[in-house]
Amino acid sequence: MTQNALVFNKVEKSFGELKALKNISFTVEAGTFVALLGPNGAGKTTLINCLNGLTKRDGGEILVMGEDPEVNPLHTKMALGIVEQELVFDPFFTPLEMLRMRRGLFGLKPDEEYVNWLLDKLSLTDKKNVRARQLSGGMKRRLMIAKALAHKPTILILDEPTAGVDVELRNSLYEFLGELKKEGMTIVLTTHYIEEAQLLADKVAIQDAGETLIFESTKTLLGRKKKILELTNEDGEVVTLEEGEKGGFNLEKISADYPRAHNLRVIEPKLEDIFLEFTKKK
Amino acid sequence: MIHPIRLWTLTYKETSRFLKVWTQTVGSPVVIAVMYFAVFGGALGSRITELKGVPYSIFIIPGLVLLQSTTNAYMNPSSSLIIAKYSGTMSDILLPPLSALEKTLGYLLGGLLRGLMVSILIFAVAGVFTGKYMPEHWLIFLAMLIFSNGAFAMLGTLIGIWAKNFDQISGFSTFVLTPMGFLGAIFYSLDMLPPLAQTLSLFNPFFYFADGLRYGFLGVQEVDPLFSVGMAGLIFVVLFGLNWLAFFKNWRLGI
Ligand SMILES: Nc1ncnc2c1ncn2[C@@H]1O[C@H](COP(=O)(O)OP(=O)(O)O)[C@@H](O)[C@H]1O
Ligand SMILES: [Mg+2]
Repeated sequence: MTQNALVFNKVEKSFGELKALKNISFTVEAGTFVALLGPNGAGKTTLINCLNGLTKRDGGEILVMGEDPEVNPLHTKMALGIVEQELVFDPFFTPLEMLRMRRGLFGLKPDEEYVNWLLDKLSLTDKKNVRARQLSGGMKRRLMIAKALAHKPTILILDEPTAGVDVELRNSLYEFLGELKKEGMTIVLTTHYIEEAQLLADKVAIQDAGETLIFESTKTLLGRKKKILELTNEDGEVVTLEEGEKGGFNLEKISADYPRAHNLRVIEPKLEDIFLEFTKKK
Repeated sequence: MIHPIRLWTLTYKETSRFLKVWTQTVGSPVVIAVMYFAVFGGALGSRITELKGVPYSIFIIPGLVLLQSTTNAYMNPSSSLIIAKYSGTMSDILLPPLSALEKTLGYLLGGLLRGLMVSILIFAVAGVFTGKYMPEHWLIFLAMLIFSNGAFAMLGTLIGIWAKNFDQISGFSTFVLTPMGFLGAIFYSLDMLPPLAQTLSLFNPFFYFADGLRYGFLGVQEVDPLFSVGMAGLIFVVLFGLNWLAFFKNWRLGI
């Protein structure tokens, strides 16, 4: 049986006049990786804040492992590990102290082995005993991820964790997220780097102006856009051909039409184009 | 609901901040106490020799202790909360499954322990100057120390939750708490005041804190010590309820 880790059903939230969330509806099955894509101001962070009890929704339904976070926050908070968008840290404590305290605040006994494993996985072992203000931006971001995982949540939510982060760190983060997913972790990642969604996500939710515009598997979504075959014909002109209705190209016909074709190249569809198409349509 | 590990960790977090900078936390009240005894005990004490049959330099000890310790008890949670708001680390408290009771107690204990630590130090410094170390009535002495420092800690929590910036926190301390302390009959006895001021003093909560503690330490009082303990206890309970409610409603802490 696949369990639903997260359910959003017609979630609404306003700040005064501003409707930050109008109609958010999608479901994250346990063990899947969902990318939540949307431009700035789409309401991604607000949606996450509705999950963790930082803010109260105005309407609709939210379930975290089957429980409403506003009704049973103690249960849902245990299930959630949240990496906030803003780079924040408490200047008084060292990474090691922070991870120990995070476990304690969740009511868990010390687990030095796990804490050290986390520090190691996030390349913070060297820095585990320095005050957080001495950490670089990338280290602080990794520390936030370690903190979110300190209580061994079943759902990890990352709010734009790769914004302003160097390529090397991004790649190692992707690798780590892949490992966590293999171990059965449910992961939701908000981002506006579309390659990230394409690379990592089983499913993609596209959100704009407080609405879920689309929610489907990354594969289906990419299938919405046709592959393009680009070739150079005998006159040296570049010709582009779209994939047929059923997918794929009729190579016999192509070689008949363009007997001296060369420089053949298939251009894969990009999530970015789909994303732009969807957010522009609105 | 109280989970021992959660409460212990929050209390640890709220005490380790002042313990990490303990030379500041402890140093400043001690220096101020020494100054008071040098000035009041030395210079003034030769003019006002006795109050209520107690040498003046000894009479002022409980008030002096309260003035310093309650300021520390107030500053601990209020500054912790405002720093968390500034640095965005409020979520360190909001994301974990801490109950309203655990939050109330955690911030209370942080402020209370700091207040008690400062109290003990100033009593010790005062003892060096005056030779008076031991309280007369232990039970009332301890109850008054806990109620008064606890009340100020919880006041600090409330102001910390309410405040948007550090100025509001220090403003409340400078314009409300400090005057309240100085007017709480800690350097004089009520009969030295004009009648109207005497009556007004009875509306000052700090008066009961100071008078009750003075009874516990010296055995002299202006009003019935049990009444002072009762008032202090009542203030403590009311503030406890308000703290719990603020945390329960997530008042001004959420988004
Ligand atoms: N506390 C708040 N008060 C008022 N408006 C807010 C608040 N938080 C977010 N908003 C507004 O809600 C909208 C959605 O913001 P946000 O959830 O941060 O979007 P995203 O994370 O997708 O960039 C924005 O227009 C933002 O200005
Ligand atoms: Mg955001």
